[in-house]
Amino acid sequence: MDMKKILIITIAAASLFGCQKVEFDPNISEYNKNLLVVEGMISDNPDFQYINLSRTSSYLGNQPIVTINNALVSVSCEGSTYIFNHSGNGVYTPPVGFIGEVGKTYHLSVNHEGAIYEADSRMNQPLILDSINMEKDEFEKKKFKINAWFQDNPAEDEFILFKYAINNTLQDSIDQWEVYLDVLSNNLYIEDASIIYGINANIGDSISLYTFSISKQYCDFLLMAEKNMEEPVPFMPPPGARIKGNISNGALGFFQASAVFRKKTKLKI
Amino acid sequence: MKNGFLILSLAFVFLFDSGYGQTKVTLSGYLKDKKNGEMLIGATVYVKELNTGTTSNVYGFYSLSLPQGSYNLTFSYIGYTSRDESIDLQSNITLDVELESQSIEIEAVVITSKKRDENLTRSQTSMIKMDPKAIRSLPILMGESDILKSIQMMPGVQSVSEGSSGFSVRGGSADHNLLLLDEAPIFNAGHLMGFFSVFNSDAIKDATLYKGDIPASNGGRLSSLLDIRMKDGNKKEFKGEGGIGIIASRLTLEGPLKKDKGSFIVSARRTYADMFLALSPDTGIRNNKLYFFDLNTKLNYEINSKNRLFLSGYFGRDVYGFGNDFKMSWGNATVTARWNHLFSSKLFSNLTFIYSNYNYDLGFNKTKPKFDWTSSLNNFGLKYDFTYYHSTKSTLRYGVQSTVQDIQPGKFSVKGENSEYKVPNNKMLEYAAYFQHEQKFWDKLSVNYGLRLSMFQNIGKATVYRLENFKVVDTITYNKNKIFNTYIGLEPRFSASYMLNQSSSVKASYSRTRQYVQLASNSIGGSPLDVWFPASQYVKPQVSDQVGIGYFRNLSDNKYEFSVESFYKWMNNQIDFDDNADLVLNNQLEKELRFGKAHSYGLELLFKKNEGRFTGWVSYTFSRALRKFPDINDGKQYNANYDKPHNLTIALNYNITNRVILSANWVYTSGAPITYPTMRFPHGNANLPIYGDKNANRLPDYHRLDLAMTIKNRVRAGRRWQGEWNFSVYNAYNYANAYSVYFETDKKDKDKIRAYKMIMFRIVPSVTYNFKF
Repeated sequence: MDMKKILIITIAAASLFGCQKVEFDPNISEYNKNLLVVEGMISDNPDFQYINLSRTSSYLGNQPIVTINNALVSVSCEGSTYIFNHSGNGVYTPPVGFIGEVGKTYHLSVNHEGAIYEADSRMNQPLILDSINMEKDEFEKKKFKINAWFQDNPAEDEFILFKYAINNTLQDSIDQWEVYLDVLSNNLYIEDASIIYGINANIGDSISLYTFSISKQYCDFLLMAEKNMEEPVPFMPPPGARIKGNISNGALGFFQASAVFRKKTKLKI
Repeated sequence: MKNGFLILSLAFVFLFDSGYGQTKVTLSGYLKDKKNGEMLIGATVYVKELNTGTTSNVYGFYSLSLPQGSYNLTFSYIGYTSRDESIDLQSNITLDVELESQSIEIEAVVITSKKRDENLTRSQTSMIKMDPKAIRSLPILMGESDILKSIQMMPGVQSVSEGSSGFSVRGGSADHNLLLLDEAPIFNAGHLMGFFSVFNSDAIKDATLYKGDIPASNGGRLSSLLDIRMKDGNKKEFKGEGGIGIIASRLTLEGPLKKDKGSFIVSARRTYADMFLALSPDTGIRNNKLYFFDLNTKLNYEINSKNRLFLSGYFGRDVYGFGNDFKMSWGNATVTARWNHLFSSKLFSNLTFIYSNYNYDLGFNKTKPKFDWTSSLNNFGLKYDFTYYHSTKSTLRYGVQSTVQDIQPGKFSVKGENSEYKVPNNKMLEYAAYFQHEQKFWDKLSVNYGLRLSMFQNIGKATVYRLENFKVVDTITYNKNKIFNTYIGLEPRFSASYMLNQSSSVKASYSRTRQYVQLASNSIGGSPLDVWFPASQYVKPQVSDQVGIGYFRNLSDNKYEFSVESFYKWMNNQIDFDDNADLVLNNQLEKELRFGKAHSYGLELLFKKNEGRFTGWVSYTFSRALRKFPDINDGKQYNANYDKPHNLTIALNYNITNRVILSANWVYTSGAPITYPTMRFPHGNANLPIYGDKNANRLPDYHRLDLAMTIKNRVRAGRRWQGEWNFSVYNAYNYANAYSVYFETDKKDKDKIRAYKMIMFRIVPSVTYNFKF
């Protein structure tokens, strides 16, 4: 289901009426409860294992994000506990040799200033891509999109996060990610599905498409995050929906265990 | 309680009939437009000797029971020359009367009562009548005159968002409004993202909005009834009219099937943005589609003086498409068949069959396999309504209704594969029986009371989920046609008016309404993908009680009208949605629902000038709409999305000459509620918001000036063609009103967030050429 096209059509129709955006001051008072924030991932690929810790900040306060550098971070699985070490700027990395495995459930524990913050996540099986290609984006003529061919796994209710890299540089921000739900296409062979639009790349660039198996809860988290970053149009709900994570004790953010698969191609158009 | 009402009703009928004991005879007939034979709705018959009278019903029929004698009668209708008739009434007489429309200046009156002091004398409260013929001179977006946009300029009615045809009445949500087109419900009244309504004003004869005190003959929605009647068609001669605008064109053809016996009307409208797209050298743009169209048709035929048949239909559709990759279309279709029958000159009946459909279809043809996503709603109804004109002081209305509704909320199929995802259908039955008695006491007091008994049933085949803490704990399936849930409820309606003197009256009303189907929508301005869903074991019927009082005063022989009305409305079993609710293609929608209470209150002021070269009105509304849900906003009360406390409208028309009309509107409203973020946190190299209390903030206040000038061509004897140019400017001072607010991280500084207000419409000039022949 390609909701992005619907959104683009809506925006196109709205543009008939000269929809504009003008900067203004909404008079939002400075407010910050300094809540702990977790952004963590365990995977079966050593490039995608980290626990980032930080604090909330006032929305329009223009303050830099404050990282947490002195927490005790551990991940446990099937009776083994692995201590993650701080490697700077609030990033905690696993001990050498630690790698996630499909089918296992991982438990995150963060001990900071006497409070314990916890989360659990199970690593679901990966989505294997048969092939990918690039073609021109019909909505943004100077940009490209990635198409993919794959067999959806037999398991129902699978959720996949797609990311891409250009010349091995991961384009790693939420507005460049896409999520896929197999609710409507379980166990089907999908051909030529447009996965990611609006890619700025050049002929000859190496393009990689990554799949990350994720939980429904993380899928909802990402969809809500994406909605909050889109420009409002009549089709869409008004802003104000909370982005619910899976960290206990009032902390924000998400801890996710993902199986990762990568497929490469060259931009030849 | 029901028996008590019936006994009371009969007592009133017989005890307060001033002519009880005398020999009475009945004068009845139809009131029509002399030029085209259109039945006149709400025209007045006045009996000078008795200082009493009546008004014609929605089919133009009137009936007066009078003591035998000679009478001088006056037949009148606003915008028409009154006609006097002397009659010797010794036995029942049928008298059809044709009235001639007056000069053009009076047509410019925009919002009007059909009788000059009807606003004082009728017991009905909180009612607005719109004249589609006259709204054309109002300045309007893109030159497309729109009955729903005009209604939003009246007290107690607010737009849900700028440019939207969705509206809120007295603190109700948009799905609390029952929109009827020739008695058929319209389930999505918006074209082109809701910026235009489905109602083509060329095809409309009459539109009445009931903001409260909805007649007992109607129900099923909490807040309002918008009763729109299509034209019948010209019974005298073949005529045409239309318009050419910057975004759409219209053409209406009408004429007699048999002179003075029957007629037809066909009215069509189509936008042509796609025709401009076809001129693009870019094939990517050239192959795109973006248009909507409407087709209204109606036939009517008078079989004899006691029997008339009407058949009307509407078909409208929006079509979007990006090349051959993606298509999306949606629209309404309605059919109404009616049989008017006079059992006697005092007993009028109308049997109506109704069919209404709303559906949408999305196709994804680029991918392999190809996908198709559809949804549909089918509504079949049968109504039998009676009006008994007992006397000049007493009219009794009663009837029965039944509706079958089948909603397919969504089906996602894979072309060429035996695979589909289908949200189970919802089937339901709705029945109602009602009576309403209008009784005048002496000359000053008029009372209108009624009772509606409504019943609702869910029927199989169905799958019902049992929920605990919004999680499914059990699944129950019901076989086809199995009735597995029933709701029944009484809906009393009451209103009264008391004439303080010849120029002022006070009124009061109470009404209860129940709503059994509602819209799953959490978008800003409504979406074509919104689906209706029914009450069930876990979704109780919505119930609203409303009380209102009002003071009405006319000045200078009814040239000016002033009214002040106040209301309080409390609504139970209200529905809102979870923060992250997924409302489309969701087969467990109940998990997303949250239940609570709402209340609203307000004060509505209206001052109108009805006659002369300079006409118009000023309306001001102060109102609040508040909601309290245990599972939303931490259980704290919050502002409804459409809570805009201050609402001021000034609408002016000035006829410079008989050919030139200047119009201006100025609209001011408080900013709509919005939820602003208070904090942020990092994730995925982005700043994600943490929101404060729901709807605790407001958009900047909204205001806008619209201007229009209509220039008619000279009327020349023998020339059939009449044309007029309408030049209109929407948002004439180009004010940047906020449609919504959007936050974006600065591209150079990831710790700086900028706030933007989204502006849907800046200054929008338009020109339309309207014609008649």
